[in-house]
Amino acid sequence: MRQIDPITLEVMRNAFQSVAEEMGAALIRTALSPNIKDRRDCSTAIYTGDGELVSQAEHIPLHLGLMVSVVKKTLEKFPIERLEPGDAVITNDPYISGSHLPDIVMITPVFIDGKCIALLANLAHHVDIGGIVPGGMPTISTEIFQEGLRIPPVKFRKRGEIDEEIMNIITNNVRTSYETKGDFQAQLAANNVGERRIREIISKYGKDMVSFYMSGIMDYAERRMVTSIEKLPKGTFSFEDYLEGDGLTDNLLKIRATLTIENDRILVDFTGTDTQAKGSVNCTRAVTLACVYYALKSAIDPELPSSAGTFRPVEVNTPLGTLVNPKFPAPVSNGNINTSQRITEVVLGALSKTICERVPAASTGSMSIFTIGGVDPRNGEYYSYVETYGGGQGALVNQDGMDGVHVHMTNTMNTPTEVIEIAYPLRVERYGLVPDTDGPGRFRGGLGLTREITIIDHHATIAIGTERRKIRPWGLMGGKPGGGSDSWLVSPEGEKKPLPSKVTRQVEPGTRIVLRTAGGGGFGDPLERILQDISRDVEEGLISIEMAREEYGVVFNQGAGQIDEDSTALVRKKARR
Amino acid sequence: MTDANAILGRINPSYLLGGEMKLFLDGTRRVIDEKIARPLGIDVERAAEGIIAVINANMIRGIRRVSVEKGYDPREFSLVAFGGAGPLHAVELAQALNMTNIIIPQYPGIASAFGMLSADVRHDYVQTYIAVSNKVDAKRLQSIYQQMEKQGIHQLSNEGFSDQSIIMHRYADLRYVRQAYELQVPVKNGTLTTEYISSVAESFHAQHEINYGYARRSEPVEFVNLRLVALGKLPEMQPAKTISRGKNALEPIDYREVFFEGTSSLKTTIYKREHLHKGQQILGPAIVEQLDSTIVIFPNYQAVTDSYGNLLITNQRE
Repeated sequence: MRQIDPITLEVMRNAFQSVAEEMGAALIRTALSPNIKDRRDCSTAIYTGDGELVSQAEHIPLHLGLMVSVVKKTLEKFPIERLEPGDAVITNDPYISGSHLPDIVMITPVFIDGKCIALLANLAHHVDIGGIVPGGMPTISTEIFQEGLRIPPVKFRKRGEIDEEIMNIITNNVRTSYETKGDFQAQLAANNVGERRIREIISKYGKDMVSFYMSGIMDYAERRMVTSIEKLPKGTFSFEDYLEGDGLTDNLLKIRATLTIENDRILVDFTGTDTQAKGSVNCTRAVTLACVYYALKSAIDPELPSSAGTFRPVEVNTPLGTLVNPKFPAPVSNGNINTSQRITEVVLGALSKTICERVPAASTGSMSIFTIGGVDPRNGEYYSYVETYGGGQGALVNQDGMDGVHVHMTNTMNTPTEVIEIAYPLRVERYGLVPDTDGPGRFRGGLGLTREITIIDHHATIAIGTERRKIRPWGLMGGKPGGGSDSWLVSPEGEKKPLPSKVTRQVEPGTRIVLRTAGGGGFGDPLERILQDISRDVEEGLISIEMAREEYGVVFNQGAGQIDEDSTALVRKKARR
Repeated sequence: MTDANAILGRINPSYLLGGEMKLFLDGTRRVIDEKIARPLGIDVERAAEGIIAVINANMIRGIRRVSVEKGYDPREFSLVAFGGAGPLHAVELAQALNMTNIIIPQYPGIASAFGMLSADVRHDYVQTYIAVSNKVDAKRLQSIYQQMEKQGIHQLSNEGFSDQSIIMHRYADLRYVRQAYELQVPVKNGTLTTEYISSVAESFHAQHEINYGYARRSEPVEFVNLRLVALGKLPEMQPAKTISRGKNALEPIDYREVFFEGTSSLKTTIYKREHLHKGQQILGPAIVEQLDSTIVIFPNYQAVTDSYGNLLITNQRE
């Protein structure tokens, strides 16, 4: 038996990591749609010849979890024996192991002497996939067929030649055929770059050595996870939280997780979670796993390298037919956006009952999706603007939550205002933080974001999916909830009309849409917040003098903008009683 | 860091800059004792070793970042130590990274200055020009390049370069329409024609194919930036084989007590760099002093000078 050399292990682990990162760079650099090239909503990874995850470029936490399972599950439907050099398989089927239809995964094999030594995969969120609304994420769907084209695992490229018939089936069914075609080529490019680099590594070390160290990398990750689990307090901890409706009704939907920490493994059981929703907020098991993996990794050992070995010691029970593992053909397009964030916070909530100091308070609670589509009056072509919005991050034991950022399961960049205005017939009227949406605490939660967009010279379809309007993001250890989300539109005549938290509708030219996302929860007693931090927040316009008084017990001298320390001490003393 | 090295005897306190700069060792010992050693309940030498361990860890992390973390195995490379202080730490760094060969250039303290003086002078110019390749105006392109060339020549001749030593390279940044990132392709000097511009678009397709494995030859290509590199060529500097074999045996200039690792110091031989001849072997523990640097050769290491004047340090056991 060959011995693992720790230095070679580290060198190879980093080599695979940099291959995955180069693949990501190629994808971003050659893609056409802003969704990939600007927002970087994509991931890349390297697998063993039988589909075990070895290394991945860390772009989007949600994809991190998906990438672990998607290649193996696809190979179950599309056995490796059917693959030849130069092939590329694509699929977006959430019922195999996906998230939602716009996320298309592409897998290519690396053959050496007739044997598949490695697989490369990348996943990109395409800008449109057909279905009843632009962007493929309707809030009103009741079955997956309405959400767009569902592609089973098929050979998109056969022995190096793109199958134009398959390409045509896809591009005929989407609103954005030019971008879609270009983005598929970018996905091929990513794997081409990866294959070249993997071959370099194999020619340097030899294929047996590479395979040997690939399993060494996974075993290392497993050992490290077990070691981290051993250090945790043992016990069983439950937590539950709610989603505010499924897009069709406002009925609350419960998610419950019970965490059992044993000596060398963790069990996560979602028994007690509500049955699957009629609307599109269901999460496939792959997405649920992604949330669990992310929450555990971030609280237990954030530096843990992600591979198939990392999560071997974690067992997850997702009862079939529930929100966290729906039965076909339930709609799933919005599970990523809202439900994934709630699942994550439920797992973190359970962890907060034992290792509170390593868990943040609840964050903005949604990826707050905003899509606009229609025919661009400038060129007569169909466009589709898709963006998810950040909000307040939950506060931590020793620091404030960040303002207006993406949290937990997503990590996309924003679409710059200039790009929106160049690429789409839209005008951005306002983009900024929403004051007073912080969850008060010794450390405060982050603030929510707002963007206001006007539709120029055409009729458009808008879709908004947000959360945390009624049940605001919870605080920890005496910290208070963050401010809720909100949205409305202003008609061309200047009339303000409220919008529900999840909505799809037609709007007139000249309509202005206003979106506000929720803030994050606070951590610790707000009456203990350091005075300088409060006066800085007030000075920067992040919180109002009224909020400083009501929530933090801080009194400002009239007009001077200075804290009146004597009155503050008095108010705080009274508030504590 | 210099203080710590002096306390451990690795730096000669009276030979910095060939003796022009004196170190006050008593003051150094007093400060380190008060601020570090006594609060931690250790002696001054241990404190000095601690300082060096921390700084070494930082340098090791830096080397790992450009090797291991990019997938390169440092064991396959030689460690070149330069700067006045580099050779003080080279052996410990190489040891930590399992690197077998260390190269100390003849004048480590001025290696960066040497590099700067032997590099060509370069000026970069860039001008945005956005147009789909079949709509590019060749004359306009030509005049933008010429304008940048004029600036380049003006700048370089002000810096004293003659016309013969000035070289121009033209480039253009191109992309497929709606991509967000460009690729740079070379453009020829002299007169540009419409036919030539379509060959630039063709070299973009080819470059795209090399970088990403595909080209979209039927799709429009967009010019984004025009670039000019103006080079002022300097004569190439070649290292010379100036060091010959010595006639006499190598003589130490001194001996002193030096701490390497552990609690006691070792009697260490001190050499002068100028005395070293090709092929002469030095066994550690030893220290080589020169005007611009100090080289520490740890126990179990050996060093030998090559004909270019480099000192090559290796582990005796390897």
